[in-house]
Amino acid sequence: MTPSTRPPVAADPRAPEDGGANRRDAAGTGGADLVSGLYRAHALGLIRLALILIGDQPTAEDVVHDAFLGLHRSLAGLTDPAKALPYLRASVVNGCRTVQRSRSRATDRRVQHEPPVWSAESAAIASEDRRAVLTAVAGLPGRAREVLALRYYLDLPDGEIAALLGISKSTVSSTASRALATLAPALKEQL
Amino acid sequence: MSSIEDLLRDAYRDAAQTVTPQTVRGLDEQQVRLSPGRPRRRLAARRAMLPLAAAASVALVTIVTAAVIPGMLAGSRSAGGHRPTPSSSPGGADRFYVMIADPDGAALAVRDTVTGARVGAVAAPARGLYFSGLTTGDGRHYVAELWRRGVCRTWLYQFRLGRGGRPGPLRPFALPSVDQLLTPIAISRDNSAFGYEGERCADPTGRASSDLAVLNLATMTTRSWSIPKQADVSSLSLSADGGYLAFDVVPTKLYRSAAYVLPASAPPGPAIARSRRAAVPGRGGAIDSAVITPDGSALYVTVSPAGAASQRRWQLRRVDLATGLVRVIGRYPGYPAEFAADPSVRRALVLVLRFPSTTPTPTASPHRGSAQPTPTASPHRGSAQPTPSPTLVSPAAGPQRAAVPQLAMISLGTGSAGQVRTLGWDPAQYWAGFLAW
Repeated sequence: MTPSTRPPVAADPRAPEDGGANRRDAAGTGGADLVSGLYRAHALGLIRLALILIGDQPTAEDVVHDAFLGLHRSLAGLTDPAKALPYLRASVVNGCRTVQRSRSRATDRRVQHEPPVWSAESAAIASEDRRAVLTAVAGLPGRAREVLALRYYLDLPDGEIAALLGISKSTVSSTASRALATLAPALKEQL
Repeated sequence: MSSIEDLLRDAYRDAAQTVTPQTVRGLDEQQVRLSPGRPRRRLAARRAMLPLAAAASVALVTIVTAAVIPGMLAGSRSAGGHRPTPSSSPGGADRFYVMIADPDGAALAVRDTVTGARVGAVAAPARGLYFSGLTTGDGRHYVAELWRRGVCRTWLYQFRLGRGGRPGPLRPFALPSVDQLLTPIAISRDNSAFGYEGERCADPTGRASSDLAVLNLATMTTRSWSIPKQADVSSLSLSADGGYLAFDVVPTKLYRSAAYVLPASAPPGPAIARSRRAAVPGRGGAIDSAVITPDGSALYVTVSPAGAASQRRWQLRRVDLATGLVRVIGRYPGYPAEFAADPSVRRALVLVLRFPSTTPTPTASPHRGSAQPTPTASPHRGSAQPTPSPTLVSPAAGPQRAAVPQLAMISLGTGSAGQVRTLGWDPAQYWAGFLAW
């Protein structure tokens, strides 16, 4: 993952006047505690998000670990600790996108990957219906998969999804609508 | 809310629930307190000095970063999408590595990969015996080889790491001694097989032929294969069940460098003929070490190219043994003098040598016959009357040039690298096989 693909945490116009102190704290022990606390609280959830986006747990863990490492590198620029979690989510989504890109290249070279949890080989998900849903989602374009996961797994509002993905709110809405419309025929039997 | 949205929520929930805290390695290992981060300006300056200034796709992290989230690093997975293997050391024993502590090999030290601190020590069992190599399969049970000056025999001892990395008593190994000079050695993760290369040291003035052997520790039967004296094996590793032995041959006048995989059930005979050649370095380079994954499906090799030492970038490659496909995990400056993977082969500690660009290129190493800048070999290697020479300098005549050694941790899944603290020990004082993880 390249952390530079998304700026760590931009200067927050709502930052308190002692933003400098926050910055020093973020880079110091307080910042380290922040990362530690975030890891305890959110690592599992982020791994699950990454799993939904890329399908297999080992890669999901790698992506999330890289995101936390990126966060720790960016502590000095962290002005608002509240933005750390959005940063991590964005890093995870970006990391998953990077993995997907490298996989598409690797597929050309016939490199095998861990089967996704929704595949028949994996059989990690017992319900055939759920597997069918996720298989259908996996066939969507990357942006659509990201929007659906953030909307229906994390239950983020469209505004936050837009900020996280760096797109407009209307694009989020239209992407989700198109994705649902695409999925409907494929999931007709389950509906 | 429409039904399709319900379906999506349910499906996502089911997929997410396949990940549990118990299946994420290290998620509950949060007892280590974080070190303070570094201001960005200092980080940038430090970055310029890092031994593993990463290639574009390789994330650079400082050791502080590596120390931040031990659970995170403990959880990194091997590349290529293999199924996650259960942790071999659920108590976090792979947080510790063991190294030969003193230049003369009189003691071992157990160190914490996160803090760099020395958490334990093991003294040689008798005066005049010196540690010359180490191996572990599961990160808890270690086997050490010891030698005595002027004697063509190797003694093998074992010990276990307890909680907090504290070593237990040193006891003779199941194979207490061998009338050969052993190096390197390897043990399988299930501790059922022990592999070694043993030099017969028949001719103290020259190089002797060797045996590559695998000892079945359940039946105490050994199967061995011959290695000609012109070939030099620099690393050994065993699959988790001991079914496969991976080794690499460094370039000599008669042999090109390559990594091989030998089934432990292969009939006796020439090792190279009985093995499958799994990887070659290409274009005059050399494979410096090879580590097979526990399931025997892949091989990680370090490859150092030919050329000016100061401009070299060594590669970490992954070879899929089923398909033969090779993937470059990362490219790093310097020379990978020592490569020790953790029990699950998800991470590796690498001792990297950086050669200053202003100094001349080192000339040939005496024991390899190539232009590779090599670490000092195991002190007894090639002679029954060895002379320890652990300090890392160019072994050739001419201007002596000190390499800058630094210990790094690399995630074998992502290729990301970080410098590891080496509190209280000088990485320049070591020889090949000095470290096991």
